[in-house]
Amino acid sequence: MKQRLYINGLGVISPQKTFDVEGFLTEPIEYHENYILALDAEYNQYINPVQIRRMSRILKMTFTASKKALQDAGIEKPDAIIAGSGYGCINDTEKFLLNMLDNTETMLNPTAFMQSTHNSVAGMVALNVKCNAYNFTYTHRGFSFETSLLDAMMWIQEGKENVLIGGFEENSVNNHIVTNKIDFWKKEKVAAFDLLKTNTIGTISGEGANFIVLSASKNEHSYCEVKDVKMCYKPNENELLEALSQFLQKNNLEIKDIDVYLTGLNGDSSMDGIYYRSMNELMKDVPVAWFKHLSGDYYTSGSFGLWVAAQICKRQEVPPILMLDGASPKKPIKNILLYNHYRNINHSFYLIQS
Amino acid sequence: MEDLKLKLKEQIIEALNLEGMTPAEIDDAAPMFGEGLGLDSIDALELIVLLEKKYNIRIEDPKDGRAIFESINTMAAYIQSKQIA
Repeated sequence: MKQRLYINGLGVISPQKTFDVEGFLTEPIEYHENYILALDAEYNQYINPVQIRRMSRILKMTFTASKKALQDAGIEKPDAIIAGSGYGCINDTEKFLLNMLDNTETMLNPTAFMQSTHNSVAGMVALNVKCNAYNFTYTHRGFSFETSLLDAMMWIQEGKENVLIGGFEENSVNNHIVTNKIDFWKKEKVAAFDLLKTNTIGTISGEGANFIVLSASKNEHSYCEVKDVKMCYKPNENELLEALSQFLQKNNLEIKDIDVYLTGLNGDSSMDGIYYRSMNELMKDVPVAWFKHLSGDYYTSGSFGLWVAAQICKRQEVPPILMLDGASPKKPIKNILLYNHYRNINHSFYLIQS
Repeated sequence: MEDLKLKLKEQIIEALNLEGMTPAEIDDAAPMFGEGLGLDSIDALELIVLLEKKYNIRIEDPKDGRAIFESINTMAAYIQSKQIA
C-alpha cells in the first residue's frame, strides 16, 4: 500500500514576513527592485555565538529555517536530510574565487572555501542535530528542490518517518550582473505587484531558505498532504498538457477537482507564454493564484510555492495578494495544483491536498 | 609594540568575524585557543593567512603556529622579531 505523505513542519525565510509570524502574508511587501533579498531573522536567537561568527548569510538563513521547520514539526532529529539548490552558497564561491584571483592563488582563506560547496548546508544541519542518517544535496538547477522532494517521498515509501527537505538560493551581485546580460532579469525597475503588466523580457531575482518536514504520519498540526510531484524537461506545449493529463489521471482527479491553481508566473514576456497559451486556457474555470511577485524567481522558488500551497491548505484561505484575478476559491479548499517552471526548461507539477 | 598589538587585535576581530568584540576585551596574555578567545583549528589557518597577507610573514611549518599563536603577546613578539630580522 502506498504510504501517504504529510507536511508537518515549515520554516521559511523569504523576502516576505514568513518567519516567526502568526499571519499568512497579511502584510505583503512590495519591492521596486529587480534584485530582492530575504528578510533576515534574528539569527543569534537560533545559532550559538561560536557557530554564528563563521557562518555566511545563506548558512545562517538555512540553519535557522531548518531549525524552525524541525521545531514546527516537533522533532529533534529527522531520519534524513535532503537539500536542493541551483547555485548553492554562491557568495562564498565568489569570495573564494576572487581571493584566488587577487592573491594569485596563494593565501586563500579556508572558511570561504569550506562554505562554498552546495552540500555545506545539509551537512551543517546534520552536525547541529547530530543526524548521521542519509544526507544528500541535489544541484539540478530548476529541478533541485523537486528532486529533493521526490527523493524524500521515496524514502518515506521505504519506511522513514520524518525527512527534512529544503530549497535554498541566495542572490549575489556578481551573478546578477552576469545573468542580467543574458536577459534573465528586467532591465527596467518594476513594482513587483505589477510584474504581470510589464510585458517585457526578464523577471525579478529573488532568494530564500524554505525548509519542510515531510512525514509519514499525520497529526493535528499537519499542514497538508503531498500527493504527487512530476517534472518535465523542456516539454513542448502538447507534451506539457499530456503530462498534466497523466498526472491528474494518476491521482484520480480531473481539472474540475482542482480548487486552486497556483502558478509560477513571473512576468517574463519571453517565458510566460506557456502559462497563458496552454495552462490558463485549460484551467480557465479554476481560481488562479501566483507567488513570484512576493518571492522573486530563483532555481528553487518551487519550495516557496509549496510553502504557499501548504499554508492555503491548512488555513483554508487564499490571501488577496496571491489571487491573480478576483475569483476566490470555493471552500473547502481540497486540491491545489502548483505548476512552476524555471526559464521554460524545468517544468514541475505538485499536487497538494488538504 | 602596543600599537602593533592593538592593530593585530583589530585585524583578528575582522578576519575571524568576532562580532561584538572590541580590542579592549582581548587580554594580551590570555590564550587564544581553547579557553580565552576560544579559537579552533580553522581559526589557526585563518591566522596563518592573516600573517602572510598583512605582514608578509610565512609560517612554513603549521606546527610552529602553536607557540606563535599562544596569545596576542606571543604573536606580536613573533611579528616584531621577523620585521627586525
